[in-house]
Amino acid sequence: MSNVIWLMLLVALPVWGQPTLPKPDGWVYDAANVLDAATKAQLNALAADVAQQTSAEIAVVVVETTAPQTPKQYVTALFNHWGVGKRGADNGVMILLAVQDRRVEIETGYGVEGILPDGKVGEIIRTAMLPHLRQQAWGAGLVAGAQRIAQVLRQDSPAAPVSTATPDEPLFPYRGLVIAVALVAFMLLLIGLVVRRRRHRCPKCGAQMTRRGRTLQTATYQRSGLRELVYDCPQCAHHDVRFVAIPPRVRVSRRGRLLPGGVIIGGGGLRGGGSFGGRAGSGGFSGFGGGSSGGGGAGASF
Amino acid sequence: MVQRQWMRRQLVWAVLALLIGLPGCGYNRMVDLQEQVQAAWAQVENQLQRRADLIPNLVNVVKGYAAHERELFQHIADARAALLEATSVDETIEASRGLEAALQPLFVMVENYPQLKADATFAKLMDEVAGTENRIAVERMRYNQAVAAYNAYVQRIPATYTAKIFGFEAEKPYFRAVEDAHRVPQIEFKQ
Repeated sequence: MSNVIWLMLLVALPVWGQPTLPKPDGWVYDAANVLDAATKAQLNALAADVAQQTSAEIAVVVVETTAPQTPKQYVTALFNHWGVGKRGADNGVMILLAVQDRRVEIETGYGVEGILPDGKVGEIIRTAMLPHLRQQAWGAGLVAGAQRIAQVLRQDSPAAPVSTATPDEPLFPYRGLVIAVALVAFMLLLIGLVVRRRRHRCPKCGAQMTRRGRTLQTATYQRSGLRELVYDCPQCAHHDVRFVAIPPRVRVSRRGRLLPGGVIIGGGGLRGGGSFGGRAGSGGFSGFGGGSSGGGGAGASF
Repeated sequence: MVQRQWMRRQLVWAVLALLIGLPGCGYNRMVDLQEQVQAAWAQVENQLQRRADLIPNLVNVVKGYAAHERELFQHIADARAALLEATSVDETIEASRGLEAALQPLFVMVENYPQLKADATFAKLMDEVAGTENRIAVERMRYNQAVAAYNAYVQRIPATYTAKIFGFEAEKPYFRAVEDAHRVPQIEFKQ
């Protein structure tokens, strides 16, 4: 029994203790309210420009703290929850600033790990962002970092989107049922072909006789019943009457039938999110494209 | 004669019950779940390989500044060799934890060498190592989720009987981190 509890805890663990992840609100999400309107506009314009030129998506997120998760866990979870970057191309980048934790993290989608390897991202953070962040110039630091990222994306983005994700084949949910029904029909057909009715031949002329049945007494649990069978030959006028006993009814215990099992267990839900509809018109943002990442990128404390 | 017809009807019902029950025993579902576990494990092995490839470079850079720490480097080399030799899932998990434990003293030691920390190559390599550790953490979590789904299903009734008949494992191993070593090494680079 304790094994079951452990299992439940383990399955719940990735979700348990997770703060509810926020919904996106444009390219920039500022939960700590440290960015002024001008900076937000600048970042929005930059992200919109990059998205239009290269289809790559840059998300900028500012929070006070990511507790109880580590900043890296949080940025990976949020990246995949929002689905930053285009599905298939996975060309998204998320910049996270945790003000109270004094930590900056950048998460790179699978598709841009080639042009933005962890070493390069770390170098961007150290040279462009940390000097500002150490002075608590949050806006300046984020803008500097985003501009460097945008520069790399513009220069080195692959010409055609590289498909890294395996296409999800939606499982036809009734597949098992259809197969079962088809099998049953097939078996019935086979049984019908194999099972033959006994022919009753007329003793006089040998032709097949018709049979009519009439129940004289029904069978009960106590006694057997009686059935009268009348055979008629269509060719000669032979007529035969027989009596047959119907076996008494038997009480059958109700035993559980094999119930079809197969409760669907939801798989882990961290991979690939849908796209969220954002407010149209906030710098041309209409939701993220459903990209995914796997923990790439770098971070630093300041 | 009537009794034989009655028996025949029972046979048909029995066959029907079997046909409806069989797909319900969950063989197909088990196959799917097992495939997911194996796919997730392949991803884990990818990242472990990536870490194994990075380590020699890292050790070389560190050697440039701290050549006398021979024991430490040997320890790391042995742990890495063990990881590359591991074949089964359990062995790989064990070897990975051994390598993480062997690397911890390296990260602690590095704090004592400011010149090393100022080295640009070292900084980039540490970013790569930290990134790889992050990736391993993510793939390990996804693998554990797949294993949880498989274990929970295979231990139910009636799936557990189907599992025994067809030879499915009753419980796949979880990938648990070394308690202290699951933190990504964070090294302060003061410029």
